[in-house]
Amino acid sequence: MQPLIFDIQRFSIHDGDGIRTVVFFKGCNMKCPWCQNPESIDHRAEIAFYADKCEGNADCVTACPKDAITIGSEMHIDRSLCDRCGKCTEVCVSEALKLIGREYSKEKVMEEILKDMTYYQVSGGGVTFSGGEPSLHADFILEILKECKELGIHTNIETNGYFKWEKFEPLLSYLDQIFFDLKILEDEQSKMTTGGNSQVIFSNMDKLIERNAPVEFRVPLVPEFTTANGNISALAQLLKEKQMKKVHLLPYHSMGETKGERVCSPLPKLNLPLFTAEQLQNVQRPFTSRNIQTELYR
Amino acid sequence: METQATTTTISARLQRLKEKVLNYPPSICPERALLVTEYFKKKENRKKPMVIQKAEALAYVLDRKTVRIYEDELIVGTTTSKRVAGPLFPELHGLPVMEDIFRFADRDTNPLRIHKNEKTKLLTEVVPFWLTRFLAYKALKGTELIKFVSDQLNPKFYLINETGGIGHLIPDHPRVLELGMEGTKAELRKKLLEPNLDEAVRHQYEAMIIACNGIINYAEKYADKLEEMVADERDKNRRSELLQMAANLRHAPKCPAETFHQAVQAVWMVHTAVFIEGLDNGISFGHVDRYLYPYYRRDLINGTITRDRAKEILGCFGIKTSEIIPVFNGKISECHGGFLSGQAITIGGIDAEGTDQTNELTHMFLELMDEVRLRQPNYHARIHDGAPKWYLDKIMSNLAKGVNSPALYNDEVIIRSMKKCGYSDTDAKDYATLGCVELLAAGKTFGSTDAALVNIPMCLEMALNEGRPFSDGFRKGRRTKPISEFKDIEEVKQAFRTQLQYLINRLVKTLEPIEIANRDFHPTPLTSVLTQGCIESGKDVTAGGAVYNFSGVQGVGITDVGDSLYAIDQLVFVRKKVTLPELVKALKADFQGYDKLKTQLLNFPKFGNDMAKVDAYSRWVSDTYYDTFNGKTNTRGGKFVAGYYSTTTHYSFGKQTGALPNGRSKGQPFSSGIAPMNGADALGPTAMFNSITSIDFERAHNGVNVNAKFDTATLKGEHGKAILQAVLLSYFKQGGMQVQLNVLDTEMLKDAKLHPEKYPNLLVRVSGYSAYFNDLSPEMKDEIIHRSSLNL
Repeated sequence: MQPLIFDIQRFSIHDGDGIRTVVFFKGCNMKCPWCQNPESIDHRAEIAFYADKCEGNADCVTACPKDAITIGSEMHIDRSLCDRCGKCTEVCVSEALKLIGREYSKEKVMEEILKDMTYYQVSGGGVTFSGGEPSLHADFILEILKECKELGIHTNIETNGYFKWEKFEPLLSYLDQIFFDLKILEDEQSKMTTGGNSQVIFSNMDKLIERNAPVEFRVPLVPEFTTANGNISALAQLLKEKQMKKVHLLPYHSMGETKGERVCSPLPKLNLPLFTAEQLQNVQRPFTSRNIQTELYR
Repeated sequence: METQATTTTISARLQRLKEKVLNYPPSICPERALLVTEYFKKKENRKKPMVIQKAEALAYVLDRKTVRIYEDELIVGTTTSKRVAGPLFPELHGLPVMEDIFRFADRDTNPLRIHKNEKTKLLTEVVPFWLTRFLAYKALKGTELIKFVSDQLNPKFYLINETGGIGHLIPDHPRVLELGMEGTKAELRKKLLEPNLDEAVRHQYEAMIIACNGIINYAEKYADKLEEMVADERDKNRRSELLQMAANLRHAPKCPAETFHQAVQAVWMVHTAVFIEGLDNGISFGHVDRYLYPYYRRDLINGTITRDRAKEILGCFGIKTSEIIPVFNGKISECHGGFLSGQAITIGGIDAEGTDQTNELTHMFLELMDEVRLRQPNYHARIHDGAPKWYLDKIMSNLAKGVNSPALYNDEVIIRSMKKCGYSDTDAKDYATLGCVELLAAGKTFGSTDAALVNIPMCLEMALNEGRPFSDGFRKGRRTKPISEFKDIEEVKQAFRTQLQYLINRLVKTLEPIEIANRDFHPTPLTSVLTQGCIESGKDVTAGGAVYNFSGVQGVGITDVGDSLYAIDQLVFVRKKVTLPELVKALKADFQGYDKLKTQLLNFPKFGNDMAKVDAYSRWVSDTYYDTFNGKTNTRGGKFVAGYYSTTTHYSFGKQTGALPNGRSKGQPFSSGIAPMNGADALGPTAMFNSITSIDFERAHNGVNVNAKFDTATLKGEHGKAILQAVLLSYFKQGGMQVQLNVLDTEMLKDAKLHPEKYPNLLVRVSGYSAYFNDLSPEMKDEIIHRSSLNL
């Protein structure tokens, strides 16, 4: 099956070294409630509705073969009828309806990647595969990775670590950088919160370290979830045991939640408080006290 | 190069000078106008050859104008009798500016203070005399004149700047420093001894000598005053400074400069005199770091100067440029908002041999940009492959901090462009920048780089209406096919080209009598002394005496037309979503009743998103604009050359133009310079820069303005600085010509609009120049706020 890509983002400066183009794949095998890209979780395409852009032209109503769209006081999509064909998005001139997730040929992806070649060369940047969970599309990515390496483009993948080793391993020889998310160490808690089997994730972590893979670890800081119950200290201790010198920390923000509203996301709204500067200082301490350098993204 | 440890904070003296300049209300000084009028009112003067009259009038003003020396100054000399003010040029701009006398103080954009008595004096002594003598009056007569003046008050098709004089040059400062005015006079006297001299040439040389003497006398006047002040000065240090400055002025620019301080002072004296002689606009300095360096080096070796002292002298010099402001009428202020005076300093780059020219003074200028942060001068940094690391580092650190100076110029592309338009290899390599973004050979080019600006979208409007503007019953262009007969986009493009050619022909024809009037009634002997070629040929710059001659004409709204043509092609001819007559009906109705079509047009793909098939249309428009000037020359024998910067005319032309097929409503501004439509670039800076480089800048001989806005978050820390450098250098590698940065927090700008008092000196890049945010019109403020933020 051809994977769906929901965005190819240029001038990304926090997803690996230098200036990068990030290819976002749709589909994830975990369901973290704080997900920043809720539109990426489902494997299928989705219809996003931007209420503020809708001008009520009603072209979508007539275009919809399933009669899923009605316009009363405001426009409404009956998601149970919608089969995500995307016809409504083609007729919407105000761009209030957008199809999220399209099939791309490998050639088309390469074409987009190559547009910023000069910027990669000058900045030491390259391409990053993200998602969703990109490793679910390892075959597709492998072909692109090979071509990138031939052209001398720096490559990075951002993974949740929840993959079958045999699927991921072939990518290794073509990856210059792996950003590996560490979320919740305790297995039951992990399964319950994210749907990810932490035994698989941490065994993959071990294998990558054993193989001397260029892996860097990232920890999302989410109050009540990842920062609760001594999880951060446990992760810090684990990284110390693995002799890791550096960790990327990604503090929670609520930007992803508005995105979720547009696509009938399966995730609940969290409405968590944002970190204060002081809390951000404290939450880094388990790492810094173990001589692990922290890189904080804001 | 090893750079010494550098101070990072502004010196106390510079801080005091800066505050004085910032706190002085921009004013109008009538002194020049009164003195010039006094000279020309004498009938016996008016019997002399015109070039002699002009030289004598200049010397007359320089001799009688008030000598002003301010506390703390190390560099003295002013263009007016007030601290921050603009002089008036009744013989040039004449009535079109003077008609605003009663409104200067109260207008919304760039108010200028003028005293009641001064107004009365201007009205009784100056205005009546020049009523029938100012430049446009001499150039055009009768209905032509009335048409021209009324047309130019609300420029709809083009804005002609040459009726205010020509200006826009870089005096040959290195030659003045090397020879002194006496050395130049010796050359001129030798020329006068040549046999069989044409009478006009003899007058030209005589006038040049008068102008040289005018400057020598001007310096002496200042020296006298400085010596006078010593007696009343109690501070011992200041006394010795005053004596030193007096001694400097007794020596240079009369004789070759011997010290760094003398050299800087001499440059400033010459600069102010050139400002007083002609149009006070775009007078620039050239490679200051290069030509001052030998003096600095010598003083340093002799132990007569320290780095700090040299930097302070340069700082005093830089602050002086912010004392000079131009006086425009209200209408023109809408076109060139923000007190644009265009005094550029070029730093870095390669020389004629291809060697990097950065030095310790380059570094000092980069420090001063950060420390002083005043509206002027415009600092322009040349960038080439061999530019040293410290130079790029310091530039990026300034830009990332939000200093918004310097603007960057790409040697590789510019040098190729200069050669293509006729410069020799060595002169091209040695190019300097002028005014906002213009390019020329310092001391060799008389380029009239701001001759005119053209409203390009108006040509599309007329192409869609058989040669008539939507708002006008009269045919102002050529009659082209009715829209119902257009079969494909090629025919639309053809009609657009026809309108453009017609408009440019009209512009060139209108400029001709103005060029001749400049030559016959406003020769500039001092400028001619300072421009190579004029002494050799015995001709004034206005008569084509310079080594290189051009007229620069800016195309405004290129990408608006490019995007409009793309939308017409796709929606009308390819997808047949709307017919051309329907579309034009919607445009004429300013989309009233066509909301959906407007939305569709606005959301249609636009220039700035690295989409080759979209960008190709803007490229076609710019190529077509360039080709329109093919074979056209001005009366000085120079080519017409294309440039792409708009100052603030994208706003004033926009006001005069109907709705466009790119979805822009009637009266709204066009995109600035060669930028994408406001907010249309959605994919970030790399995509935007890739689109921009689809334009062939080797054909933009007169220069281009590319504004990029980054927010503070993107540029934070060493990481941000490295990213910025990589983005800008990649853009240049791909064929970019110029770029300047605004690093701004949108929230801060919104707040600045609501509470101007909290941000007295918030500097923003407008279009090739910096202006205080508070000096901009409300609409321009909104544009700066909304200007597409490149950070995703």
